[in-house]
Amino acid sequence: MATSGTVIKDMHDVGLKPRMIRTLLKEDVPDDKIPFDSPSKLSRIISCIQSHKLLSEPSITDNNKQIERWKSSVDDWITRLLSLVSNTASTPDKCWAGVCLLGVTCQECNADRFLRSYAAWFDKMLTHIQSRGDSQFVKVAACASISDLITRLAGFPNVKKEGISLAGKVIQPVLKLLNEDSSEAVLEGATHLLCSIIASFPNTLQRHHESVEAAITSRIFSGKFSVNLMKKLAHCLALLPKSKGDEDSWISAMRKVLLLVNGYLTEIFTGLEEETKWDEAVRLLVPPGEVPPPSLWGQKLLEDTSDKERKRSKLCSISMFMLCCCEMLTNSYPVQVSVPVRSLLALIERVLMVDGSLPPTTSSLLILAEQEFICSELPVLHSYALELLTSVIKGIRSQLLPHAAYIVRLVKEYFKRCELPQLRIKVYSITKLLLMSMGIGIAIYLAQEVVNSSIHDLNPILDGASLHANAKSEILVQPFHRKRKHGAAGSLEQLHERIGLEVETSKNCPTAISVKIAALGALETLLTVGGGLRSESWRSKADNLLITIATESCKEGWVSDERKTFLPNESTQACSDLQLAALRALLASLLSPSRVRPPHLAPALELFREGRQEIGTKVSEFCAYALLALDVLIHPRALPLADFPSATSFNEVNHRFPENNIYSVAQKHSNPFSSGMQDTGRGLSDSDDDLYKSWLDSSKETEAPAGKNMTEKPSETLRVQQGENIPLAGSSGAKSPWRNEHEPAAASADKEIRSGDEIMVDSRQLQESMEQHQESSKGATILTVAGDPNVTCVDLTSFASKDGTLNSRDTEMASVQAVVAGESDRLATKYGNTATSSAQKDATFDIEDDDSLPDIVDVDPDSD
Amino acid sequence: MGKGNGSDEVLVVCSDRNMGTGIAIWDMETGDRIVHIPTCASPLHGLLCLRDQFLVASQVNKHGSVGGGAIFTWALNKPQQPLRSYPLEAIGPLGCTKDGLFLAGGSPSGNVYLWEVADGRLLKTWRAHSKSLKCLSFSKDDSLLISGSEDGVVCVWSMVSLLDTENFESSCSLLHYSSEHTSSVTGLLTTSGIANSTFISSSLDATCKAWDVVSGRLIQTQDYPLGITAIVTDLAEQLLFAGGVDGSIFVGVLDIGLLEDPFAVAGDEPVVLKGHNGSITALTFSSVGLISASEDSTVCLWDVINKVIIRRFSHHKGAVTNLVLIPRSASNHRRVSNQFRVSVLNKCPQPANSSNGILTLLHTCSSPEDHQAPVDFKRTNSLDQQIFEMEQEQTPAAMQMKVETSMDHRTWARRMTNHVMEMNRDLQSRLLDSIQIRLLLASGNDSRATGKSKKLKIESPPPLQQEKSCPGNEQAFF
Repeated sequence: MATSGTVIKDMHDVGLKPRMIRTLLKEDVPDDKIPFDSPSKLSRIISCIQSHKLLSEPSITDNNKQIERWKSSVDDWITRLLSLVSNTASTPDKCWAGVCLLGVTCQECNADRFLRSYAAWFDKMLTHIQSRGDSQFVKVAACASISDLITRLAGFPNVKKEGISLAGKVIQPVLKLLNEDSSEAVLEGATHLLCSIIASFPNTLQRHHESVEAAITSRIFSGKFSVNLMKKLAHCLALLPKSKGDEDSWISAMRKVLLLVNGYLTEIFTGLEEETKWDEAVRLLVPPGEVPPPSLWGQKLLEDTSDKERKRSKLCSISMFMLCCCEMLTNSYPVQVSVPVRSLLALIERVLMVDGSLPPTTSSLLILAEQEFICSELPVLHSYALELLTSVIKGIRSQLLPHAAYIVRLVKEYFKRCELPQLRIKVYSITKLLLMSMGIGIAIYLAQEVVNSSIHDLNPILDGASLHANAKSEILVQPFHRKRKHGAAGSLEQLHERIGLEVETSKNCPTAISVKIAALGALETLLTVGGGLRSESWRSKADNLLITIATESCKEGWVSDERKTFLPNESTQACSDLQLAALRALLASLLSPSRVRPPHLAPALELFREGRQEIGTKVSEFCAYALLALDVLIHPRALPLADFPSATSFNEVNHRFPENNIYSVAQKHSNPFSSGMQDTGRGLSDSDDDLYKSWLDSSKETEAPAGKNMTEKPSETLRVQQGENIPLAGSSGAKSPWRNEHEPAAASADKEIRSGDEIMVDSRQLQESMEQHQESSKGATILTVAGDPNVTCVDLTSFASKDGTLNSRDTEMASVQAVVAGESDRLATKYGNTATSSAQKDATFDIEDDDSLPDIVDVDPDSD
Repeated sequence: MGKGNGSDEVLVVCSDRNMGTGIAIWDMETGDRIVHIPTCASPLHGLLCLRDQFLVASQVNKHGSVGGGAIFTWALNKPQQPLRSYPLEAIGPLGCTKDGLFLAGGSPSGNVYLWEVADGRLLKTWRAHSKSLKCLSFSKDDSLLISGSEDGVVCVWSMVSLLDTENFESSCSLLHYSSEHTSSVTGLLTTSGIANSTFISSSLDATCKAWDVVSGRLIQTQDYPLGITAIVTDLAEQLLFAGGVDGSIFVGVLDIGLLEDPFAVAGDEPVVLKGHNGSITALTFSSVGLISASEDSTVCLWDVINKVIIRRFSHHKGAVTNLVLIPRSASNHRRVSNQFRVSVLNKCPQPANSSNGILTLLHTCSSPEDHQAPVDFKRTNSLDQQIFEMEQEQTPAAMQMKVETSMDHRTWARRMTNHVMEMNRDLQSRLLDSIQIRLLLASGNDSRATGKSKKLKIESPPPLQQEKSCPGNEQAFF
């Protein structure tokens, strides 16, 4: 090499960097003579620069020649780039490469250099945004590079003023790009540049606030771009209030968006909802005494069009504006703002409650024609409305508490209607959020719903419709078929049948699995948060369900490489995700507090141990964690506190063990190795001998203390363990009468056959018991029913078979109605339920151990 | 302000003797009084710290208002007059959620008031007890409110249902109540644990009881020789400290998980810390150790392991009623970028539907954080995409780029062709010229002339080829 004759030490040598830059300049970076033949060359150059940090030379130079050389080569590099960018004679692809590399340089070069020359670079790139003739590619690259430059500039607090003036220069050209009939890529680049200006120097946009808003909204209204770009625009619109950074601009932006969405919805939902919705929205949004503006951003709020295309673009705008609301709620904002929660919630409810059905009052043919159109678009709208609900919960957090009851009602109601997998997943995740944010207080209301829905969604696995049917699932199918033959008419069984069919048709469809994963997630969260509800009736059902699903999903073996080869990637991924979700939920069910030692502990442990061996998978990682977490459950620890004297002996043992043995052994081991390495000159056999000898020595040394330890330690540990075990044994002895009651269930739970029908019976029983609970205030007879699952089981089946096949529909209706009644009575009945259930519990508790009497007197709704 | 290394907390203490006593803030390291806030006299459980930014204290005497109570709020970060709120009734105990968004106050008449702190709205007021409220506490997840009264009744309320605007009968919000305690409840302590929520109540009837929050089941009862006036656990919730009416503090192991065992007291003899002469009024646990306040006007910092007092603070001005630990940084006067807002607490509830349901949102991330966060450059993404597009040549933009590039190439090629043609013409004319000359000169020697001309013709292509082969050199020709 001509630059230096010195030898390169290794890949980290400083002398290497200038040489690499020069080589890049000579061979790869295009210029007038070097052609730019493939764009992939560019990515190679960039990766080379980034991985070797070629452009970030240290700024302090103590006359180090190498650093000087490095500096000058970076100078050359920049000169080359600037000539590429500004040379009018160079072809657009070279110009593009220059702009791109300059952008990378903005990120990579050292701070001094950046501060010295950013202004010049900026001007060079700005010309490409401004000029008309430039290729779109160059424009996009210039936008991206300038946004990188501005982002980097924002990191230096001392050049804030310069940054603001610089950003101010970009705004007009960017606005021009936005308003012109630019291509999508350019629009995207311009939007991104705007976003990074708002993020870095928000004050710059203050004066242009209105024009930027108008430009963005007009693009959103036009509705003819890809979803991706539309989302970017919505994102930018959501960021826009930050440019002023005060409370009013946020609120007014939110109000405008909500008014617009409500106005558009009024037109789209004509005939499908009550007419009063618009007035209600206005009442919530517009301060009393004022009238809503007739139009916003040049768009009429209320108009009548029957043009389908217009409606479609309106629907698109609605989605995007809802997305904008989401972002506004979850983005950070410099000051506190008042959020129109009620109006947001009203909007969400408004969208979610439209299911495409015509209210009985309206029946016009004209509407009928539009119904189809709206029904086809509804899933998207619902999805965005759910997204908005998610953001409301995320953004407002615990301040949402006054509205929690409203949301609970909304979610419960929607859970019943929602069938599409995508939407169900969203509802599950909303449930999770609610449970996480508001804890046990909301679990009280949501638990039943979550359990019902997840049983509904998860059961098909038990019906043998699992992906890989084998001998065992055959057995599982058996009882199901038999039951159907007998014409059992339980409503849930009907449900199962339907689901079973659904699953069979969509066997390989990953969406079904994703719903299951979501359901498992919700169940896991419920068990995590609402473990305090240990005494509720759903608990044992959930536990049974989870162990069954976990075994089922893992029975076909862990998702291994073998299967990855012949299954499409996605579904394998889904399978392993399902396994993971099932195991996570299973762990939660084991760890969540309960009255007895979890009955499924043994099979679960087996599963976790098996899963742990699948090294390198997420499942294995999780299983290891699960085993760690369960350790405390299997062998409860009663560790002495540090401050009591008994602890000292423990400490001693612990200390001595590592000090005397392991550490010294390690030392002994390391010595021979290091000597072996150094004395390479010696004969091979010699060093081998040495090694062997020292090995022998060390093993001798280790043996003695180890033996000593063996004799000493056990007595110590044994004592402790015994101490631990005593209360445990005592407790199990004391619990035994109560255990016996549950033992049949637990025992049968271990058999393979039970899962299918028992869960069904269980879930049926769940409904039954709900009805029972409602009556229970009158008599105490239910105690026997609820206490002994087997009896109920028999009763129900006989009842069902008597009923015959024809009535099945009716019974389903009836039971559903019962459930609905239970829900609609809501809190009143709910409290009735909890009161009675805990009454039972207290009673059973009475039987278990005589010395503890029921203590808290439950509320009697009448007596207060 | 002394910067102690050991503890980053300072101790806030107040009394209920008279308004002049005020609040004292002590440095736990040195025992110095850092700040004194005048005009405050709070009843037991009447002082708390919101979000480490505000001190809220209910006032014992009817200060200034007619028959009503008073709650004062001080911002810790700037010295200024407190926000004075005057609720309808005198307020005794206060409770707030962990995030400081909701504040509950209990009155001697048995009513509970629930405010939203940020905009001061009175969200709910209801008759919770028939006797005077003594303690209010939120469950760890802020979703349940636990209240204890003078007659020993403990109630658990569901916040969701309390705040439900469409539910007007407060009775439904009551999850459980118990009158197991035979005398006034003196302390309510919720334990952590996301799933296993329990709380402990202490009472003057010389017992502490542990309850399950959700089911309301009594889990354990611990008997003490005398009435218990305050309870606290250590930070890891292993030990339970119970202060008695005679000033002794009982130390026990907290073991709620074991259903059968009652409180297992370590050793046969319960550990008792003795050092106060008057009834214990408040207990709290800091990173340094246990802190106890007593009616004997002193506050003690204990070394629990060795059962000795590390430091004793003397309040001089009367029985200490409240102890609150706040981070040292909170007591400094500093700018908080995203100031949490508090408003004067409203006196009366507003009609549920009057306003448009606006509520204040706290954006937790402040703008400086945005700048500090590692910036994510867009370049790599967009560049990769562009490179991909270029390679695939599928998007219109990439096509355009290609077209433009090739157009440039074509113009260059045309230029070059013209140039070459010109040169060719030039050469040809020269050739013709030279042929002419030769013909004229050597008309006699025909054979040599033709040979020359042939040679010339053969020679002419090479420069042409040479030019084409290195297009970059075209400038050199001009």
